[in-house]
Formats: sequence, C-alpha cells, structure tokens
Amino acid sequence: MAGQNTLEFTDENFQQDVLESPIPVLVDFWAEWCGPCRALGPAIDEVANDYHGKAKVGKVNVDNSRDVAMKYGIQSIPTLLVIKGGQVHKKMVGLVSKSVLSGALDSAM
Amino acid sequence: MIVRRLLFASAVLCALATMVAQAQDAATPVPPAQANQAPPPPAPPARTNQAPPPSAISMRPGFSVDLIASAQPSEGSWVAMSFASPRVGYVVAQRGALNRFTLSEDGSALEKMERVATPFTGANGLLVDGNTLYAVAEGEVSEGGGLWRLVDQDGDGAFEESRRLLEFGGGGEHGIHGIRKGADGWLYIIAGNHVPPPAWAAANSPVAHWGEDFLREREWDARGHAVGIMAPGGFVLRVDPSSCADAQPCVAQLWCAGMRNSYDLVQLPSGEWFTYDSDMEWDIGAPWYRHPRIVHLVSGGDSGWRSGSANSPFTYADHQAPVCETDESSPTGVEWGGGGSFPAAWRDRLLVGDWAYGRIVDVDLGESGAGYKGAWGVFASGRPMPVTDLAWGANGDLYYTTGGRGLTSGLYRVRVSDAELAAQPIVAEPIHGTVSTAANAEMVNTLRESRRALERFHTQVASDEELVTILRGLASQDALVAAAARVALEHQDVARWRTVAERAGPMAWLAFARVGTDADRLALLPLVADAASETGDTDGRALLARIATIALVRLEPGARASEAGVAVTAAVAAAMDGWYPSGDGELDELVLPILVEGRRAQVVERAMHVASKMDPAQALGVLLAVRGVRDGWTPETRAAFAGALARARGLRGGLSLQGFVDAIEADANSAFLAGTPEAQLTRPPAATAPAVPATLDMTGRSMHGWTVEELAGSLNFDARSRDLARGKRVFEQASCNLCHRVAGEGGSTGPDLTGAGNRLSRRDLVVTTLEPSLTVADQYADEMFTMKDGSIVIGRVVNETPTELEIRTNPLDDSRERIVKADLATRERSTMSPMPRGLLDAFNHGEIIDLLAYLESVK
Repeated sequence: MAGQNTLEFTDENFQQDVLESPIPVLVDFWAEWCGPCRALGPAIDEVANDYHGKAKVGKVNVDNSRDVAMKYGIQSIPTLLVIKGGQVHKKMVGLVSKSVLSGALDSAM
Repeated sequence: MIVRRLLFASAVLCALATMVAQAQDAATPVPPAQANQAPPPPAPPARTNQAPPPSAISMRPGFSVDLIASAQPSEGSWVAMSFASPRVGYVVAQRGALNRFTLSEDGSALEKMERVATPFTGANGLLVDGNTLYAVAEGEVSEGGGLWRLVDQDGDGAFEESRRLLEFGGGGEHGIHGIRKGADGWLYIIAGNHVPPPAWAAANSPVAHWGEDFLREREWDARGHAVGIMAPGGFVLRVDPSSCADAQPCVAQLWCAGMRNSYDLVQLPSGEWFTYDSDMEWDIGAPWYRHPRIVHLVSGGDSGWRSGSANSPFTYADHQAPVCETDESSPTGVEWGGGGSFPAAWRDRLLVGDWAYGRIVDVDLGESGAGYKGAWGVFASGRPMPVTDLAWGANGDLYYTTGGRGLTSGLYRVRVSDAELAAQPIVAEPIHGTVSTAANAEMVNTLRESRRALERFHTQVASDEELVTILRGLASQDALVAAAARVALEHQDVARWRTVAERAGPMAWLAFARVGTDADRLALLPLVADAASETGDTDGRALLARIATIALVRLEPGARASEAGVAVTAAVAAAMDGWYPSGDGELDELVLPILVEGRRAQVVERAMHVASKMDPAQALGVLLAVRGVRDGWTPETRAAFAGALARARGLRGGLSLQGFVDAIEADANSAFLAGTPEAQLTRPPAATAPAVPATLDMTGRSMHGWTVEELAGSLNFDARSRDLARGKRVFEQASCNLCHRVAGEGGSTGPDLTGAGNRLSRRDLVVTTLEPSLTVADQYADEMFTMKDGSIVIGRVVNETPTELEIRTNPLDDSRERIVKADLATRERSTMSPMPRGLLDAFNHGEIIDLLAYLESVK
C-alpha cells in the first residue's frame, strides 16, 4: 500500500510520466519480496508528501516492469534514481534515509 | 516463495508506518555551573525512569544487590564509570553525556546527578586521577575521538581545562574503550580490533613485528563483519601522561595486541594486567571459532585474534594462551576482586561483565609459572542485567552500571551480606597450575622477575652481555619467559644475532622467521626441515610447523616463487609429510596447508579421508585448506569434498557458519569442482516440507500504529500466564524470524534474540521493536558510500581489494554492488535500521504481550 502521493510507474507509463515530466522525478525500483524496500517505503511516502507539486515520487515494481529495470541496469534493489529532463541526475542503491532522498531531490530542483 | 509471501504480507502490514530515522540523544555541551550565581538553579526534574529492580538478580551466597540510580532519558545509556572518591563518581553514556553523581553517606542512594560539559560526545572509558579526569572518547577523530584530559584545577567540580591528548579511534563498538593507570604511572588504554594501530605509537614499541601469518587462504566473514581488518587486532596502548606537554604528542607505545574486542582492563597489586576478550559469535560451530577468554596482558604479547577464517582456537608458539575460556558472552567491564571490601579470598579473583547474557562472571586466578591459569563461575545474573562497567565505590562496595545500545541504564551496588558465605571457594574443582606452597611461590616470583627483566628489552637496546641473557631466556620451559625473550630478541638488530640463530634453537628461529630478511628465511627453512625429521613430540612438531608457516608467509611473493623458494617449501613439506594426520588439532591445522603448499602427493586423498571421519562442522577446516587446490582431484575425492559440504549445510551454529560453507563451495567451484558430476552433491537431499505451523487469522484486522507509551503500562505482566505459543506465531507472522535468530533458528540479518530477556527490559524490547532506527548496533548498521559523481550506495562491505569494495545492498538476498575506491568521495555510517517500523501494527495488544513473553522465555 503506497502513500496517496506516491505514484506507480510501469513499462507503459514510464516514458510519459517520468521521462517527459517537466519536474524532477524520484523513482524507487522495488519488489514485494525485498525487505529493505519495505523499510524504505514509509520514507518514500513522506518524501512524496513533502515534495507534492514540486517533484514526482513513484515506484517501479521490478517484477512487473522488467523493461524499465533492464533499461537502467538495475542489478540490486532498492535502487533509486532522480530523473530530471529525461536524464538520470542521481543514483542511490540501498536503504537510504529520508534526508538523503530529500537532498537528492533538492539537488535536482 | 514462502519467504516472498511472508514478506509481502509484512509489506502490507507495515506500509502505513512512518519511517523516520532518529539519532540517539546527543549530548550538547553545557557550561559548568558558575559559583555565586543567582537565582538558584531550578529543581532538577523528577527521576521517573526506572531501571529493572534488583529482585530479578541472583547473586552468589553471601552477597546482596541494590539499585542505586536509574538513568533518565537525558542521561543516555551508561557504558563506563569511574569513582573520584568513595561517594562521587562519573558515568558516561554511549554517544551521550558525561554526568557526575554523588551518593549518600552510606552509598545506598543517589543524592545528585549533574551534567558535565565536555568537548566530546560519548566515551567508552573513564579514569579519575586526582583532579584529572581522563576520558576515552568514542567516535571518529573528526568527531572528537581519542584521549581527553579534563582538569578541575580549583576543586570546584567544574573542569577549567580540557585537552585532547591523543587523536585516534573510530571503529564504533569495536573502537577504543577502557583506560586505567598503571603502577608505573603510565596510562593503559585498550582498543578493539576496528582501530588501526596509531602511526604515532613509538617505533620501538613492544608490539612491532605483527603479521597475519596463516597459509591457508582466508575466507572473510560472509556477512561483512571485520572484512579487511588485519593484524594486530585489538591492542593496549601505553601512554606516558607526563610526556603530554602542550602541543607535543604524548609518548605512547603499542604494548600488547591480538585481542578481538576487549572493553576494559585491570592491574592487580602483583603488577599483572588482565582483560576479558570477546568471541566472534557468528563463527560458532566453525573450527576457527574462539571462545571469549580471560587474557593475561603482557608486554609484546599477541593473543592471536585474526579476522574471518584466519582465526584459530589454538595457541601458536608466537601467541599467548588464555588464562581461561568462558562460554558465550559479550565481555565488558573488568575489575579486581580484591579492590574493595570483599573477603580476602577475592584478592585472587577477577570480576568481569557479560552484557549479552546479563552476568557478572568471577574468575579464580591461579599462578602458573610466570603466568596464570584460571577457572570461572557466575557471580551474578539477572533478567535483564546488561552489565557495562564495574568499579569499587563507597564502603568498598562493588558498583556496576547497566545499559549500552540505548537500553535503560541502572547503577547498582553489590555488598557483602554474609562474610562467611562470601568467602567460600567459587569453583569446586582445583585449577590446573595453581600453586600454593612457599617453594612454588618462590619459583613463580623468580620466573616473573625473569620475564620482566627480559621485557625491558622490548623497548631498549641490549648490551652484548644482555643479549646472551636474552638468548638463554629463549630456552626457558616457561612459555611466557621464552616469549618475553623472543620478543626481546626481535627488538635487537638481527645483524647482532644472525650468526648464532642457527644454534640458538627453535625459539630463535621463530624470531628469525618474523624479523629476518628473505635470505634469512630461505636459509632457515632447510634447518626447520632437518629438525623436523628428528622431532617426535607433538609440541615440538607444532612449533616447527609454525616457524615454517611464518617463514613461508613472510617471504615476498618473488622469493617464494623463486627456484630456491620452491625448493625449500618442498623440502619442509616433505619433512613434515609423515605428520599428517596426527589426530592433534593444532598440528594438523598447521601441517595440512604446508603439505598443500609443498604440493605433496595424495594430500587431497588424505585430507578427504580425514574430513570424512570428522564432525561436519570441524571438517570445514580441512575443506578450507584444500579448496583452492586445482590438481590431483578424482571423482572419489571430489565426491568426498562435496559430501562434506552437504553435511555442513543446515548445521546450527553462528550467523556466519552457512555463509562460510557457501564461500568454500564457491572457491572450490572455481578451482576444481564446477562442471563435474560431483558438483551436484554439495546440497543435502531435499528434506520433506516442514509442517505448516498454526497461524493467526489476519483477515479483517484493522491496523494500529502502536506506540511505546501505549504498551508501557502493560509491561508488568506475569509471564507464566501468557500464551508463549501464540507469541511464537506472532514472531513468525510479523516476519521477525526472517531476520532474527532464536534458539538456533531464524535469519541472520539482525541480532540473535536468544537470551534477549537477559539484557533487554520489557520496555527496551518494545522500544527496539517499535523504533528500530533509534539505536542500531554497529554490527548491524549499514555504511553509506557517496561517489564523486554524487551517486550513493548503502550496504555492507563483504569484500575488499586494494582497488575495489564489494557492497551487499540487501541483507536478505545476495545483491552486490562494486565500488571503485578511486571513485569514492565519502564513506560514513548509515543511521537507518534495515528493520521496518510497523511490524506489529496488525497485531492486538494481547498478542504483542505474548510476543514479549515468548522472547523473554527463549534462553
């Protein structure tokens, strides 16, 4: 269950919702079976709330959206990308804190 | 699939939780109280926080215990203390504040607790010496880590002067710890194995020629603990405080080493020093596991700890035997039994803290030559009683603190309640090596004086006459005297004794192997080979095998691979070929890698024959030694190797045991096993699926974000009336068992919760469950690696090369990232716990109480 401002990105909507987004996007590559991804979930939701309207925050389930995961060479999860103007602005792997997530988004503003 | 489903269930359960990393209470330095200041300060807040009552603590007959004070939230979790006078002392919190306490006249109550301003946050060791307080501040050097001196020049209780005398540290809970003042006036500081020996330690320190010194290639801990940590491991630094003039570095010596992670040390009136060193509990079951041990600390001593599978339970000739080994524990404070009002019998005893199992252990010391042999028992135990430090205080009573890792702290007092009972022997069996006759006592004194006379040359140059004395000392039948002579010899210019080394015997050869040149080593190995053919006793053979090991390991790769190097290796291996297998654990452990190195014929067949007859866990040592051998394998020996691996799978043991099995298999696959039919045999036959335990019905439940306060009022429950089976089901359905082990079952990502009731109060259990990021133990904390391009990787180092780091980013699978060190900008500890919040949100109040009762019940 994701927070109300946390989006779901898929192979189908990634181009439009992420790559063509006019504002920065934080993308969380995750899977249901990934423990650290679960631990990260609340922080993602909080960031989504904090940056609502200024940046998009959403998740890509790597089991369901393999094309996107493959395109970005996701080898381990959680992996997070900040994408700005269709390009990867920042990459983070592992269980990052909310402050690190916020800092990554701030740097893309 | 089952695992994934459970995780999914928990993902749903915890998704509503809010994850906010919280730093532990960090002390903000406050100015000292000013005299003649009006108006008077407001009354201190009520001391409402309560440490566990002493009613849950059992003592040896003749002793009683009282709770004197409980740490309040602003005071942190106490890890070290020191008395300034019988009634006044200092306690310091882990990553927290320093406080001065004043006891009532009879020491039975706390009169006041005052915050003391410090320029550092948190310390692991305190020492009051006159008007001076020394503090061993934890943290990195950039955070204030090192030795601080605070001086109260006018006796008003405020420190007017503070100065960091030595900058060193880091290493978190394996960092710098206890401090004591020796009878020689020097300060002795003990450090854990994550602290590198300071570069500014004197070049002529007693510990000067350390090395890893093992032949069989190491497996690092598969879970990433102490990866890359090399010899000499934990050490004692000896500091001359009178040398610490302004802007001058203090004179400091690396005095002894080879410990894993000792927290404290103590000197007895005899002048001898002791510590209590920890085990690597994740290795339990592996043949390289070493028990916690009481160590007699001596100049130049090496207690022999090495990282990963390079560790050994055996005492090699260049290492020092423990006084005694205890069962599993987490060693903390160390105190001399005779320092207070305990009966005279306690003058020959130590009292040491065990944090994890909630005990104070007593150790009966028996003099044995120049050293000691001991036996141990349990002085006090409680549920919970996470002991952190011990000290003698008012009326000669023993005071101890509990706390650490954010647990609620208490200051307790132990008194003699019945002198006759308190004077009883603490062990039923006599200690091996104990001496009691006057003649033996005289011999002990003679040996001890001999040892100390030799130790002078651990830092000094000997005259020619003294060099002869040193060489004679090598032949001593007393291990400590001979070791003191060897270290003394190593500190003398080799050119002065090279020509006599051959005739000086094996202990001189050991020194030669350690400090000689490669040419010396190439000349030494044929001597060892010759002696091997004439040596029949096991101890003598083990000594020669150890000398050969060190000489081979310390040869530069070029010299080792040279024609001469290959020839002497083959000669030594041939000379020792008939020694394997001997049935003696130490000798076999030393000799097999030499035979492998010397490419002896049929070494694989012999090793596999031995392994097939060993306990499956112990056989891992044999597999470790031959796993890299590429040639000489047959279908039968490959099958034996694979079968031994299969038998080791599923064994109960420490958290890393199965990781070692996997690593050995991976290496074997690279060397000889992959692609062969026998490679399929490394897995045990599929077991029948375990019966599915009854589960709690989770349908239709509403989620509730439990808080500590909501549960705090319900913690005075009677555990006997709780449903422990239901508590176990909560443990499983909340997915706790995926990461936490209990009684040998469960995952290995988080701390083992067996015996959690011995160290955590019920409230602490609730706090750590509901707020996992509040305190993350170093062993379970991730690191954050920020690259120069701004990208970030968080996880744990599981492998390290000179140019790369391999990071495991997900503790529940094998996801790994490689980092090129040259691309790394910063590396720091992560404050996030990998454990999610909200795991209990779907459970009701009764189920949570049952969970607490279940965790308390598992010992």
